[in-house]
Amino acid sequence: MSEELLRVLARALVEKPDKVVVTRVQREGINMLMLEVAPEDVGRVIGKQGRIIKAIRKVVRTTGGPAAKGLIVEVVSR
Amino acid sequence: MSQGEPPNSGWTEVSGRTVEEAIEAGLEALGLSSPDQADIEVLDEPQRGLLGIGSREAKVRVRPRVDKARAALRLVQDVLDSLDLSAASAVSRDDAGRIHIDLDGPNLGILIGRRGETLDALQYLINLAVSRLPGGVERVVLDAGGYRERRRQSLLRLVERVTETVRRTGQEVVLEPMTPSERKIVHLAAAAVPGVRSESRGEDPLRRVVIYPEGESERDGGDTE
Repeated sequence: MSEELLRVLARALVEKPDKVVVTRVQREGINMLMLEVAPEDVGRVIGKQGRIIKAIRKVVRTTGGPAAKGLIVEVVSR
Repeated sequence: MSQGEPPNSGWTEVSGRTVEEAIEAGLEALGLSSPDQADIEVLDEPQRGLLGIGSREAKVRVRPRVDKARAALRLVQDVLDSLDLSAASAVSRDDAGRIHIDLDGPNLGILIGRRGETLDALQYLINLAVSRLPGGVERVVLDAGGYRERRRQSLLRLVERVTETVRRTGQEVVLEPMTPSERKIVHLAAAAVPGVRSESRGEDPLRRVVIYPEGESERDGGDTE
């Protein structure tokens, strides 16, 4: 549910929605969503001073129930 | 799910003997029946020339017009689906031309969040997504369960009460922390009350509005009499 939400938001913000991949990483108490986008789209999901990724984190963390409370959302590109 | 076309793309250039003919050809190429469904720009006016020398065809470029209200609504719907929420949605435009999407349904509280922070963040992201679509600037206002209007009314009542106190006692009053959109409502309302001034103090998310008696501020902090 949080994965799908993150995918929906990211796809709406980037120029290459097909390159958006969301992966959940869960080990040793780490609960993380990795948002992968095309290199040229990194700025479109992070924003100046991280304003966009902050808004994304806010929405993902507050709508995912208890499981999403400490959820880490990081952006990667390759 | 074909959202996210790259901005500034999707133009098709077409020529014709006249501008009208070029537009018609362009619409036909896009499979559209009416000019209302397309963005159209004239690139070259036709020129007659003399004896066929220096003559030029009309050139225009066309692209399908993106209905931003529809695009915004589709995104909101995708967000709701991803959260397994179902809501009725009403789309309208206000006098300022802003697109309003009002949601109503059960369990929308999680979409609003504490002090409306989730709703504000989602609204910000929707506006970003819509601004990246080709076409003119459009603002989207997202509400759920009438939250924004309810909150506005309670803030207006608060300002009424507090400004009354400030005027009576001559003492400043520091309000609870508020989001930027809430502070804007408070400042606007306080500005309409004679005898008081308002300023914001502190940093988000703990930034608060302070209401002062007129002529006094945080700096000088003193009497004017």
